[in-house]
Amino acid sequence: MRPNLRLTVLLIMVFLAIPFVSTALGANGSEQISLSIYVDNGSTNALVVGYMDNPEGLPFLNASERIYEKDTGMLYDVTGSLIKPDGGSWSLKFPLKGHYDEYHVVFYIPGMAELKEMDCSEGLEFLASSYNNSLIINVQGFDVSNPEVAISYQEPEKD
Amino acid sequence: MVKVDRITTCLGLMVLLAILTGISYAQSSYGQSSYAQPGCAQPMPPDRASSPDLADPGSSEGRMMHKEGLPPMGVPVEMIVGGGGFALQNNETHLLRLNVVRLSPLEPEQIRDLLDSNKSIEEIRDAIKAEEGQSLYRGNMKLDDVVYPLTNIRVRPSGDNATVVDADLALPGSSPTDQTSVVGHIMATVYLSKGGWIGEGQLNVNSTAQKGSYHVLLDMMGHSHTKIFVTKKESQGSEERGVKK
Repeated sequence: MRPNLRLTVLLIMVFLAIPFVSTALGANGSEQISLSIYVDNGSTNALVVGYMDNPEGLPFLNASERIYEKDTGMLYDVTGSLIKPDGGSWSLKFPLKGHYDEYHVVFYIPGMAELKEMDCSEGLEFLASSYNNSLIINVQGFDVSNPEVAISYQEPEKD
Repeated sequence: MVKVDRITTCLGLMVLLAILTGISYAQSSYGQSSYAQPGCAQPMPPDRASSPDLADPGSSEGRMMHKEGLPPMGVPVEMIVGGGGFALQNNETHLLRLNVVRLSPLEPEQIRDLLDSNKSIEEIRDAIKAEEGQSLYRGNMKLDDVVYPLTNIRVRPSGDNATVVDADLALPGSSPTDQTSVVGHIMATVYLSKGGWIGEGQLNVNSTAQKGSYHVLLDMMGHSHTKIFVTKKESQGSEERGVKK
């Protein structure tokens, strides 16, 4: 192999190595998210509020009313895209795009709702409790990619 | 010419080794988090799901707990400290992440009242920000792959453009409200310097496999780029490492 060609190949390998080494050294920016999601009574509306580095990971933002403060990273969003009626139950899905070094989302579901099914993507763990007329679901994870939470719940029958 | 060929070959092998090392490190270094689970898909038994007083120890991925077992609840209103990076111990590097969020103590019913009031999103935001009352703090610290909930979090200003974060470490996996599970302490001062946020502090871990005293160095470039370097103190003295700014 000619020396010039060999040097060219070597330089290409060096440039290919840079992103892998940078990843190992943690030079990539860290994405964080810390949100609270409050589900409205008997409707599909929800208030999404909290902190996130990059709101582009929220696929429903374009279809909702929202404020994102770039200087503080605070998000305020009212959306009807997360919740859908599912027969006699409600289905809440919260998908995100991207990689998150730290993920913390708390869901507040109104009334004495019954949690029927809970589905989280890999790397997420949840704690659930009832408190003060709300079903609280705390979901947390570290180093997760494209995290997704799906909750199926049923509101109590009204007297 | 033969010498150049050998040098080139050696350099190529070194680059290949760097690529392979980077791949294996990226796949393994962050992958052993104490929260790493293969997902939490499970149907909830009706009796347990509707019985808040019954803790369900059956699943490691999800649990029903009393409210007291959950982290502090409220509306996140400010990220006090957030980010992660590398740490050094006895010339080795430890990974440390520190996350502290300030919460407004609004109850869920108050938030739903705002939703039902047909207020605009700007009005809802202003109402949340205007809520008076003592702020709460919620946070955690991750040292290598071990996550410590933070408890007794105190945040106070210190001089101009500086903030001191002072918190106890709770036992990994425990509730931050469990005062009997304190296993360490961290205090860090974060301040603005030359357009970026930097800081330093002290970490002491008392009762786990990571027992020791650490010097904490923070280097944050905006709220989305935080690098924290931790150097474990030698028993005979301390070794400080500079922070690349």
